[in-house]
Amino acid sequence: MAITTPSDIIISSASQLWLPSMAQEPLKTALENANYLMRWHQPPLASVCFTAENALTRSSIYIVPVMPSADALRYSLEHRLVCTNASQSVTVTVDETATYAGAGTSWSNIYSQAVTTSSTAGGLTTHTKSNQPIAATTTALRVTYTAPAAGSRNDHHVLVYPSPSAPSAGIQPSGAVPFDDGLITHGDEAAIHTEWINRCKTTAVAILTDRKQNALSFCQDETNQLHQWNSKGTDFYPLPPGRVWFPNQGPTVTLDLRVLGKVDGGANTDLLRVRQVGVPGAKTVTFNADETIKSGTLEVKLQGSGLMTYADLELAVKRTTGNKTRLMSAMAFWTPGD
Amino acid sequence: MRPIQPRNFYSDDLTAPITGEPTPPASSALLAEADSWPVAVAVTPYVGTAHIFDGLSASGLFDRYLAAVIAPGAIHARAALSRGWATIVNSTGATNYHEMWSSDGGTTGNDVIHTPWHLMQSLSYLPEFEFQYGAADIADSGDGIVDSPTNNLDRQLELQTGSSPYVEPLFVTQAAGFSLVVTDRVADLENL
Repeated sequence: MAITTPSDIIISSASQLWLPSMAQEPLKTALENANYLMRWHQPPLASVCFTAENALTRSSIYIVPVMPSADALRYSLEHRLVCTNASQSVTVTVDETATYAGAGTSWSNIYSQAVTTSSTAGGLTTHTKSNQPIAATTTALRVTYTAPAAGSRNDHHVLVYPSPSAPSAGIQPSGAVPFDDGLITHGDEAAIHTEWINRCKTTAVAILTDRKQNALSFCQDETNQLHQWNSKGTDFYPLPPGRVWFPNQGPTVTLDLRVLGKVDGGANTDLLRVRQVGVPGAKTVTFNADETIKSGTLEVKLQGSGLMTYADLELAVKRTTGNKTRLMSAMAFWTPGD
Repeated sequence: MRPIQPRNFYSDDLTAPITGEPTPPASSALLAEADSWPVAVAVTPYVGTAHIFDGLSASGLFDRYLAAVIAPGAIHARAALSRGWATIVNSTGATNYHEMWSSDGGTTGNDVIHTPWHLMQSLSYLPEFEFQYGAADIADSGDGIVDSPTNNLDRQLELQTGSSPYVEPLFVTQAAGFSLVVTDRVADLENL
């Protein structure tokens, strides 16, 4: 008996599918492909290009709202940054919290590591930290980069994606059930029963819908925002829109939104806006900028066709007279099927 | 020959079982349906994340390094590039195109993709980049497939084609937004 997890998706040939032998295949391969998904389905939990001023000589702290797996998976993190001087030490720290509450947030450390940056001045530094558990209850990550001792730093990107260990026995909180070949290896002795057939779908769908996919991202420093919406009038001012691709999906999808902003004074009601642009009747959602992570949903009508099916989304911010509004983070997550 | 069958998860009934029969016969249709689900989830491209960021406000911010996780079966991709601008000025120091590469396609010389910015009356005149308060648009990068370019063409990005996901390093200049879409996949999954 073994739970076999292939490291590559195994493709049964058309002839294997349409002229199946009186044996364990192709069902055994299909079920082991479900095990493969539990280990290797890796859509991005977060993919964020940071917005900050040029040539940072201070630490940066970014709050990244997330919707992690119910299975409390391990995730791998890739950070990209550039320092003007060669071989600097930058400490990368990632924390998690179940509830963001500004300065009063209780953070749990995921990891902290001193990274020696590129040996080339101005060269790209890519720091990868593999297989870090993120709790199912986590609602935000805090990513911190310290200042280099000499020169400056630009923060480019962080990528967070699932990298779980191979599945072990038992039903997972997501609903996925790994396959053990104990019975099917004696396929001529045991019935091909309904549960095996259906498990190919139920486990695949459980993994698909449990691992949310990051559809939209925008993130500024927690305390030193480059853009503060403080110099113009009090209408909404949009950022350039972004195009989200939903290959072969539609005609609509519904996104889960997580938005974090705050004001320096005055009312904070409905100052942050997320909407679709470019289609008639597109929907709009507004959020309060109250220094908590606000949640909502946005149904979008998809444009294009086939692999190039998309929606254009826009973030906008307004302020009240004499005050600043600071948008720190805006994230959208897609659950396939929604 | 086993081509990729696109699956629209929105129109599928994700909760219905494949079969409700207590002792179903091992029919080829039933086995094919069972086999199709894990394969479809594995090879469907992940969502193309729209990254919104300020790559316009200072020359030191023009370059942007990032990466994307690529699902199995991909060959090429295109990008959507968001741009923001204000007035038209003689924008010396900036170029009238986005530079872009994928690590798999090469990062230097003719492998660097050039996707045009707005071109004005004189090629030396460009919109003044503006992230926060400007007008904006989105441009899709080129759709031509030229894997051995002899010039800096506006063409599709090259990806590794494999049977498990991987992280593809990417680069783009002078953008306020970036998203990647897999546009070309293997014709026959049996060749993965």
